[in-house]
Parts: sequence; C-alpha cells; structure tokens
Amino acid sequence: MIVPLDWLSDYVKLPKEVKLLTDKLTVIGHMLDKAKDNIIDLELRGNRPDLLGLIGVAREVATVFNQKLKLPDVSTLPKIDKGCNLVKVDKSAQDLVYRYTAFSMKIKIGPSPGWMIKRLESWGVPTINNVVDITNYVMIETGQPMHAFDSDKLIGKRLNLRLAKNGEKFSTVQQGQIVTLSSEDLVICDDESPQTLSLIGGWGSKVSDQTSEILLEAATYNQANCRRSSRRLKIVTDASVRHEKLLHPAQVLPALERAYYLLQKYASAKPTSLVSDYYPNPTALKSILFYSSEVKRLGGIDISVKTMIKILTSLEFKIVKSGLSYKITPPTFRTDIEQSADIVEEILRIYGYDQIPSIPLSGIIPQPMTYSSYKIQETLRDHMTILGFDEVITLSMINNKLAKLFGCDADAISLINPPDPDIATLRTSLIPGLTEYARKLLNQNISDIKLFEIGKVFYKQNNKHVEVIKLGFISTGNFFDIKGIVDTLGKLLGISNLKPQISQLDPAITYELGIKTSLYWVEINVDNLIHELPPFVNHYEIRSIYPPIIEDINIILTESYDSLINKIKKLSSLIKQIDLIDKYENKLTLRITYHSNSKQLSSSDVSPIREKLMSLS
Amino acid sequence: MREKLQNIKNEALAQIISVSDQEELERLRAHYLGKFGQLAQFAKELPKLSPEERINAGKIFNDAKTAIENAVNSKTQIQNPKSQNLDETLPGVPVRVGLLHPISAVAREMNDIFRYLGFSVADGPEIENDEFNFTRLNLPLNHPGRDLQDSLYIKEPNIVLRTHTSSVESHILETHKPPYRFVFPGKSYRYENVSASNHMVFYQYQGVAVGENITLANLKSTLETFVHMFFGPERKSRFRCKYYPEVEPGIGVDIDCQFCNQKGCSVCKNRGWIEMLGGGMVHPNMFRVVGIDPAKYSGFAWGMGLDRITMARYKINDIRALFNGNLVYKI
Repeated sequence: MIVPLDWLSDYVKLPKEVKLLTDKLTVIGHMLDKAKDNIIDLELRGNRPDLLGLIGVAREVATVFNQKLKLPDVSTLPKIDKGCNLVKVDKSAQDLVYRYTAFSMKIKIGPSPGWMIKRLESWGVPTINNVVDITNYVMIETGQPMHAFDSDKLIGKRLNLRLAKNGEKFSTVQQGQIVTLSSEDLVICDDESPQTLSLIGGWGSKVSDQTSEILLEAATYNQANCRRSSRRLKIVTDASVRHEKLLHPAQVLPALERAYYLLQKYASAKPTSLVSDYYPNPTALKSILFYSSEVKRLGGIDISVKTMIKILTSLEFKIVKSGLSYKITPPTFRTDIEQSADIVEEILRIYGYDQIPSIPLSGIIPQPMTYSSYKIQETLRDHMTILGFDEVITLSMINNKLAKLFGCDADAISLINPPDPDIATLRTSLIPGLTEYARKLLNQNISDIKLFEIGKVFYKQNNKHVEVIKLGFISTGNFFDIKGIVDTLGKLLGISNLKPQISQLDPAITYELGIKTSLYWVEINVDNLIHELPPFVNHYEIRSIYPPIIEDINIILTESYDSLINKIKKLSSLIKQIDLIDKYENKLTLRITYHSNSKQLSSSDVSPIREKLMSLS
Repeated sequence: MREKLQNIKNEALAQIISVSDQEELERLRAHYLGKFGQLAQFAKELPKLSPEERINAGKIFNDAKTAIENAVNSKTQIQNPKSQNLDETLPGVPVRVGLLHPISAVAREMNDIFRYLGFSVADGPEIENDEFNFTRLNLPLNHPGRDLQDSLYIKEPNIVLRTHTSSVESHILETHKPPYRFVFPGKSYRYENVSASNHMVFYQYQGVAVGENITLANLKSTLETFVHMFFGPERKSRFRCKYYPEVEPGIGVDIDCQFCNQKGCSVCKNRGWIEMLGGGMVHPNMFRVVGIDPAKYSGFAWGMGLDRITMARYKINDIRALFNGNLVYKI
C-alpha cells in the first residue's frame, strides 16, 4: 500500500522522523517495503483490507503514537428507496453480491482541484476528470472501491447484476481491451449489455467530458469469485485487489457519504434519485468472549487490564465487562478479528512484540521420538559418506524422455500443470536422475564418480498414489568395487542379508545419453530397510590372548563362491575368518584364520579341519 | 652359522639405536645392508650349505635382514623428520571422502541445535491432499491465503505435491498427544518457472511445540537460541507482528543485516534487517479440528527457508546449482 505521508497527515499527526514511523509500523505488522520522497510503501497483509485505505493506516498510527484520528468530512446520503429501483440482482448471482448501493445525481464535469491531482499522481493513479478522480480518491482514503456510470449511456437507467453468458464479450474502460467472459463471471448490466465487472469499469458507460448525470455505486462482492475472475481474465486493478479481500458491507455507506461530499463540493452534485441499497442479509455484529488472562497464557507477558482496554478502545473495539470476562465487539472494518486469539494479537502487537520476554521452554521434556523414517536416512547418509560417496539431490520430477528411456513411465505419476511440460513425470526411481547427474560430471572430465541420493520416488498402485523412500547410488569402477560397498554397508547397518541387485547401466541407455564410461548402480528401498534394521549393532570385540593360526590353502571352485564359503564355515567353529587372496580361473587361494578364545591352537587342532577343507573341492 | 648371524644382528641393532647423526646412520646402513656389506657377504656363504641347513639358515638370515632394515628405516624417520631431499610442499596422497549435500548438512546443524532444546525430528508425505495441505492449516477453500501458493497438481482439485512442510504439522497434530516438540526439514513444491532465484522444488525447515503453558515468550527464547547457535552469538534478531493463517498471534523474525551493519543496503532493501522466518502460536482452529482444547493447550510453530539459509551459508547464489550437478564438492 502506497502511503504519501502528507496525505496521511490529513487524518493523524505524524511523528517528525519518518524512520520512527516506519519502524513502528513494521513491528505492528505493516512492514515497510520501500520509502522514497515522503512516500512509504507498506507490505499488504492478506487479512487486513482496512489497511488498503489511508484512514486504516492512520488509525494504526494514531493508536501507536497516542494521537487522535481525524475522519474526513462527509455528506448525508439521500433517503433509501425501499423498492431498490436502480439495482436488481439476478437469482443466479445472489451468492456473489453481498451489498450493492447506488444513487444518481446531476454533476458538472471539470478538472479536479490541483491538490487532488497532486495527491492522486503521488499515489500513482492517472487523473481523468473530477468525477472519476473523486471515486479513486475515496477508494484510496477508505479502501472501498466505487464506480460512476454515465447515466445517459445506461439503457433503462438501472442496473441488473447477473452471471455472464459463456463467451459473452465485454469492453473494459481500457481502450481496446475486450475480454471474453465465462458463466462464472459476475457482470453488472444495463437493460441490454454488461457495463462493468467487479474488477473494472466498462467503455460504454464511462464518465466523459459530456456526462451530465452519473450513477454512483459502491458494493461488496464474494471475494473468492472476484479473485477467480481476476485470475481468469488476467485483470488486476486497484479495485480488484480490494474486492478480493474480506471487505465489510458496512463500509459501503461511509465511502459513499465521503464521495457525495466531494462531488457536491467539486462537481456541484445534485441528487436525482433515492438510494437503492441492495443488502438482503445485513452482516450482524459479532461479539467475542475474552478473558484478559489469555494475553499472559499465549503471550507470556503481563499487561495490565487497563492497558489492554486502552489499546482496544483506540482501535475502536467496543468492550463490555461480563462477569470475569469481556464481551468485545470489533469494528466492522476489522473483518480479520474472529476469536479471542485475534484480540490477544491486537493487544500484543500494539503493546510491542519487543516487550515480550525470552523464556526457555519449561516443564517435562517430551520423550525423544524422532521418526524412524528420518533416523534411517541420517544413518544411511553417515554410512554412504564414510564409504566415500558424495550426497546429491536431484529433482523429484524428471524429463519425460529420460523417464521413457529408463522405462519407468508405465506406473509413473504425471503433473497436471507442470511449469515446464518437458519435466512433468514424477520419478519412479532415483537412477535416471543420478545417471543424468553422473553424465554431467563425466562431461567435466571427472572420472571417479561416487554419488548417492536419498529421496522419495512415486508411482501409481491400484489407483493410489504411493511414495517410497529410496537410497540410490551410482559409481564408476567394476562390479566388485560396488559389491564391496554393498557388503560394507550391510556390515555397518548390521544387516547380513543386504543383497540388492547391482546393475551395470544398460548399454542402450549409455549409448543414448552419450556416456562412454561404465557405471554401476544400486537402488535400495529404505522403507523396507527400516524393518530389517537391528536396534543395535556390535562392531567390536576384544582381541584373544591366544595367537591365531593363519594358513593359505588352494582350492578348486566347483560351485558358487558363496556356497563354498558357507560349507567351509560349517566345518569348524575354529574357522574365524576366510579371505579370498587370489583367484585364477577356478583356482582360489583362501587365507583361513583359525582361532580360539580359550586355548592356544596347535597343528593337531588344525590339521583335521584342513583335511576336510581340502576334500571339499 | 646361526650364532654368527645373531651376533651381527644384535651388534647392528645396538649401533643403529645409539646413532645420532644421519651420516653415521648411512654408514651403518652400507656396512650391514650394502652391496658389499656384512649380510651380502653372508649371503654368499648360503649356497655352500646342505639343503636342510640352507632352509634353516635362510630363515634366520631373512629375519636378521628385516630387523636391521626396519631399525634403519624407523631411525631415519625419527632421526630426520625433515629429510633434506624431501619437498614437503608436495601434495599428500589424496583421500576420497564423501560429503553431505549442503542442504542435509545445514538440516543436520539445525537438528542438533533443536535436539538440544528437546525437539525430535519428524517427516511426512510429499503427495498431499487438500485437507492436510490447506484445510487443516486454517486455509479453507475460499481463503485468500491459498492464492499465496500456486500448487503443482497431481490430480485436480485435491491432490497436490505439498506446497509447504506445514502439512507435516497437520499430521503431527493428528497423530501425537501433547506435549511434544518436533522439527521437520523437507522438500516442498510449487508452480514456479525455474530461475536462479526460484525453483519448483525447494526446502523448508519447520518446527512445532505443543503443551500446556507454552507462550510466545518460549518461542522467542527458542528462536533466539537458534539464531545465536547457528548464526553466531553476536547476531541480533527482531520480532514483529506478521500474518500467517496457521498461527495467531503471528510473528515474523528478522536478523540484522551483516552486509551493511544495519545501515541499509540492497540486500536488506534498506531495512537493516533480513527476513528470516515466520511463526507464531498454533491457531486455535487447528487444535479444534483434531479435538484438542485450545483453552487448555497452546503451542508455537515456525518455518524458514532451508534452501535460502543453505545458500547464504555456503555462498551459493543460484538455487538450481543445488540440484543440477553444478555444485563442486571441494574435498
């Protein structure tokens, strides 16, 4: 919200130093975006439509600096027309219009007074003529958008609010801008065609130099519908920004009264109708039950009840004591105040967040309960980095071509609205991303690649969306280099049967990606691993005081190495370790370590075992 | 034979141990181990022995030779830590180590700090439904807050990739009974055209503590402790009022801008402060949805940009480099 300070000072006395003003506004919730030449720009708060008007800003300033708020002059409106002859709302549009208030008047078109032109320009709106400028001026003052029609251009001289027809065209007040409406857009029509939208005025009935009579309106619409129309039609105006927020219908009247005053003063306005006030379900004032102890309970700070009441009163909240509690009625323009916690925030922010003490959490420290799904990821990160692998993170969505190349597009989940249509598939495996990453490193002439990633993969299963945590790694080297990694990882985790598939990257893929180096990869389902992970792994034991007997034997391999080793292990409990020393074709040299914790071994202990061992091949 | 070798060995070891300068050591090395040294002389005798004797003598010979060599070598190292011929500025043998991704490294630093404050670490699904991503966070269907985030849809209208890690908070509120304290780092997604400063994949770090008598004063202490431990004890933080649908009262926390010492610069938009995180007291509506009495229990929650903080920490000025292979791991 742009706030020209000399304009703001119409409504409240400002502190001499701009920095004092902006610092205070920032701390109470309206952060300074930028300041330049006596104009400050405050960040918009999603829930405070009252701050989209300068009077709202002035009210905050008055409260923090203990000043009086000076409201601008207004004129009393003509009487209400019970028949509401100027405004009809079609049944289909009744959910979209909360209040629509309008009346007509004769006016004299001319230029706006110089001070108004200067102010509007400082705010950044172009000036047109006195009537249009006054509607803009009042919107900036009050936050309530309003619009003036040229009455003579309105066929039937009245308005009908309805849903647009699909494909219906509308020419906006921006010359040459024609938009195509859908059946979800609200249109404000004369007897023949759309004249305005909630977002923007229309070309046909705009106020021009020839205008002699106007129809002035202010309204409150369904915010969500305004927002959707604005997105759909790609129209963002000062009015649309305000209508999207929860403006209170009660704000319509003071805005019209203010505009009427200025129109009388600067455009010789003379009313030609009563006020048509379409407002079928007036919003009731709500009161909130409030206990002053809540400020301490949520804020952790002692503030006297007297101070609380002073703050709330200054913000125009009505307070009635009711036993131990208070009934508090927020002013209509504070549509953000719904419950007790909101009132606590009001008191705290004005009292000063900087006054809140810093008190460590106390009470019983909750049991540590880090999720096992997180813990295992951290464990794997430790192990993989120990094993010399660098952790990388690749995107959860992959290039469609890559997905296809890896054949993981069958059960893949696609994004409905990908920002880049080429990257629209959620990965079903970490390997395509890791491969692409490795390729990038190979292209940089990095030859020793060891990468891992821990992350989610996604796929469809029985019409459900499934996500699984995976550990993937990719490495240059040969099969047994990777097998060594997997073996050690299994030992570190204490999972003896960790035997994932070790695969060489498919030559068809490497060819397609232009990768000339052999890459091996492994992918492990971490969610499954959680259940296999022992709670404790003992990597240590005391060294025996008895020396081992170590000998190398030659043996011919007639089966798989794994099954041979299993057989050897079963021969004797004295065999503590078997290492593969050498292998030539099917001839193995194994180093056997015999060891006992209870006695010194001699060759008489070992030789019968050795004989059985030799007979294995 | 055996005796003779034993004597040579003992004599050699005694001399080598007591030697005090490099030249003398070199002379001893040549004397015993050199081409025409004592052991070489001995070796010439070996073939003259009978086969059985030879095996035995060979073994003793080797023992003696190894022992003398070892003694010379270790003496050389001890004697002469600065060898005259060695250029010690030559690089050492490279050791391959694995490094964590910077985001994991920063998350770990943060987890350590918050664990010390009694927090555990939680996580949750990345594919979310409308209810957990929005509704339970006090963002009903027509809430303008939903405009703040443009979601990536899996299935319209109600299956999205989570737009923030606040969805984990929805699940925590649903599954745990107070008191509890959790932090939850994680990936989030949004509709965003990828550039150096924005990405459709980003990381957040959030936390929540729920119990009785938890106040904004506790949040202030928790976050101040974090700022001091993570950014340094000299850093200042500022608390101001800020609106987020899922908290009430809401706070924004800024830290002092170190680029300009709070004088005002382009980094801090002349504010002297840099926005760091948002938070506040868990909104009473969020407690009501899960059947917790907001008059009895209270809690605080906060969230910050894990990727932004990571980028600032490691001076990475392009968010894409976190994911695309343009990051150099310097060890």
